[in-house]
Amino acid sequence: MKCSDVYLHICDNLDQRLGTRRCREIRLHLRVCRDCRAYLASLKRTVILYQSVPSPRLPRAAHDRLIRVLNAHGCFPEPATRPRKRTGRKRT
Amino acid sequence: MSGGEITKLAEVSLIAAARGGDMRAFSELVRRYEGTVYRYAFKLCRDREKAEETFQDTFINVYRKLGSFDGRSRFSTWLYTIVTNNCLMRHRRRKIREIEESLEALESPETSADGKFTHEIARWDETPADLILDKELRTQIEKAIGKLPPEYRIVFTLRDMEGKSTEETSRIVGISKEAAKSRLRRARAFLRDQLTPYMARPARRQPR
Ligand SMILES: [Zn+2]
Repeated sequence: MKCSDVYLHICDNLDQRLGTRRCREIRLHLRVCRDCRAYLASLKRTVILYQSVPSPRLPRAAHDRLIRVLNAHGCFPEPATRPRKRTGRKRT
Repeated sequence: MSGGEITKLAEVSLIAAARGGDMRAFSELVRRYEGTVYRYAFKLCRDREKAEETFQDTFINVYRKLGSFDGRSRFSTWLYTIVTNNCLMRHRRRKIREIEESLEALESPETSADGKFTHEIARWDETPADLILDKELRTQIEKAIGKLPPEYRIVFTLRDMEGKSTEETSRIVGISKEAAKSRLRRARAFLRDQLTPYMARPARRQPR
């Protein structure tokens, strides 16, 4: 197995824990190839970095605006909460 | 049906009730999924205003198209598909040609005829991510994913951030499993290359 093959096949399963022949070959290659180990480690870190960025919770105001928009489209029947403008998109 | 009963309804019955025109059932569907839809829309758009527009468009589409949801795929898969398409429509106007070409070139790091890397692979600093997620790095993380064309960002987000399988990702995006794998590989490689100047050992120790 060559470094270029490792690159093509580490995609789906960065852990290489599968028992397939290809995964075993990759594991063997990684044992002897520092470059591929470094490359794989940096790919894993890339994924971890993106996973560690917190994603925002739905703001209360955005929920309220959604309900207004859905009301304007006739999704809910309550006339009490229906806004006056029928095309009330976004921050109205 | 009382409001209390509705919140306990299984998803299948809830969808059936909403399709039958039960407004409270539709409202409960919104309540159950609005957080997920907003977060996913934000991850794709990387911008509060665009995320909120996508979020609103998605539920309007859900309301209009619920009748055509046939239950053959999971409801969440269907929902992710709608968010994804709305995001793509918002991005269609942007120029993405150049970066796409550079992503094609990312099929693999440069290797010689015998398959060895021609350049030394940069070693990344091994400080735990939570310790180094400083403001500068956060900015770089945002910039890098912002440069990724939406077709790639979507696959990366679904697979590596939302934890979807290759199978579900390919169904949501409407591409083959092979195409999903290839986009994921290129997206990861692109992001990794973008972050290397900030993560490689010497660069992190002596920031420019
Ligand atoms: Zn190697």
